[in-house]
Amino acid sequence: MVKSKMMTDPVISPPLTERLADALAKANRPICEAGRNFAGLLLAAMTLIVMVQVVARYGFNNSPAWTEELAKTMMVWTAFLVAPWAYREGTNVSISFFTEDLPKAIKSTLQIGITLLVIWICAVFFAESLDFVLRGMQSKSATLPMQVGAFYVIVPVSFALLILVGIETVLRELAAFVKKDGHHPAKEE
Amino acid sequence: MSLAYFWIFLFLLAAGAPIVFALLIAPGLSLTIDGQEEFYTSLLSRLYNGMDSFPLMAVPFFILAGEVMNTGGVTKALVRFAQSIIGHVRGGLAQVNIISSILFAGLSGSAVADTSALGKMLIPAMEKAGYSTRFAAAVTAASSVIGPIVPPSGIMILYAFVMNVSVAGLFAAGIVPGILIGGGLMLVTFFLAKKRNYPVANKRATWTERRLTFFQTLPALMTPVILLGGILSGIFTPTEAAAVAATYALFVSYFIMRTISASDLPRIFVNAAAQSAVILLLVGAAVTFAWIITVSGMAGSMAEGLSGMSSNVLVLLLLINLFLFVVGMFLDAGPAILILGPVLAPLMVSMGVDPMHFAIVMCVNVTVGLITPPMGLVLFVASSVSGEKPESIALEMLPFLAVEVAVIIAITMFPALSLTLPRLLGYA
Repeated sequence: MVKSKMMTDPVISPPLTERLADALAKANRPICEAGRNFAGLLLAAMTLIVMVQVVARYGFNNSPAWTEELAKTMMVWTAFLVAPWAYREGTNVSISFFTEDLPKAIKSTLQIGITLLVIWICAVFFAESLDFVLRGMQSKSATLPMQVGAFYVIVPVSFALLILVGIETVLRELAAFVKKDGHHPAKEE
Repeated sequence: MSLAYFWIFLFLLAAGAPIVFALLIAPGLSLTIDGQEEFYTSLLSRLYNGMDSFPLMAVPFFILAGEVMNTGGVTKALVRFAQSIIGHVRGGLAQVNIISSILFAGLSGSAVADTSALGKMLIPAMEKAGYSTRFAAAVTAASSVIGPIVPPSGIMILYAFVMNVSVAGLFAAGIVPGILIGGGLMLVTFFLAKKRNYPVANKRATWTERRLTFFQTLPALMTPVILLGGILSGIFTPTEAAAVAATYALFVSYFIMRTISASDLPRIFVNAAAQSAVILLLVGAAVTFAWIITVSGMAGSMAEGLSGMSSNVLVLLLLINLFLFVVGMFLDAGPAILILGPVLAPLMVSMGVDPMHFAIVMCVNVTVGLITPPMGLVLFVASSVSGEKPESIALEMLPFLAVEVAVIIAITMFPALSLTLPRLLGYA
């Protein structure tokens, strides 16, 4: 059995793609979850900061300048921190209505194509974001004692993680594709 | 700049790509095809700046408030209060469901939160009392639509953000349409209950019992008072009000109702952050997409095409309603507003429609889209909570849907229905 598997499938061995995906998952899962949990902490901090703003304005008639910028930046961080986790868990909204009844092979091909495009656009944004951070390092924040570039650091980090999750996803899709096609005896899970 | 992005976007949507990525890939690929890679920077800065907004922060805070109230006993208290008022009539539990939805709508800005919180409690209760599961799920889903129409409303915050309309004004404009839908649903339920001989839930509550449940619910019922009172009187910005509402909900659930313990807090914040982030990213991606729609001149040519269809504003508005209704069958309310708002609103405003009027028509329309198959988030949640198939719930829901469509047509034809309140308050 093992022998025939290797002979009929010389290019990509599905166990290999799956093993690679599993190995990648070992890193991706904890990092993505840590990002999501950190986002929860930032949300708590945001709530506190905006409450400070409200209390300072009505209690002490003095609205601190830094609250809005800090809370806003935290919100953007929340989004970028959760993005890799959301992609990995498939919590992003999509329309499945038109592809539901397609033959499996076409559906899988579409999925793989889409994931490759996702990896591509994340790579484009990753490259752009490095420049974005560098440019940001040249301008000072309006209300906080730091460069704006420091706020932007999360962008390349998030896109790098998204690329890793994309690679994990495409490896799994490839493994499933070969299995479904019947080129390969399905590995019982 | 070519219009390639438009076709790529449609293809990706149909092929099942996550919408947030479709919104980014389409303009990216289009720029590559046109050899205009120098604009990649514009895409990235739109994505970042699209999210970097203080008004938008109301979204995570309202989601947080909803998450707290879902976990806490607020839902239970609301239902008990509704029951003491109307539980004794024929079809009482169905009416309780609708009244609870209206009350819940004043606390949360999301139809999905409404469906899952009230559905988990009321669908089993209605089944036990002898209603069909299908009907119980249909009432829950249909009345949840009121959630984002009666303020506060996540969808209206998104609209106000992309189209620069006053959030406070939009909130005020939603009150009458929300009550109209609630009243209409109750009327339909009243007739259905008579015809189908639905059970009476319990004997009429005495005024003492009513007073008691009222005071038990009062801390929760104060949320919309603080929220709307604060926003409409100008004490808080909507974002501050949302933060105050979330903090207040935490305070009430933790200290007064004692339905949340310290160990629940991490889960509440992480859940709320995860839900918010998905919406925020969608906003950023939609702002990026809106940029290419504008610079490619597509918005202008679409506007020309639409205005060529009819010169009568009312006919055009009804056509747009029909279009949005069909779009709502496939696209969720948030993405529909983020993608189509910037295209449709400027056109209608240039033809003399009040910006606030178009805003409320569009918001109500896409919200009703949440219960229309094949793609209706609220319908799916109602289905998973009840275990009934989405299509059978949808069928059972037809009389309720008719009410909601009638309200959409009414607020389209008579702007005064929605605009009187914001005008009185000085917002329109």
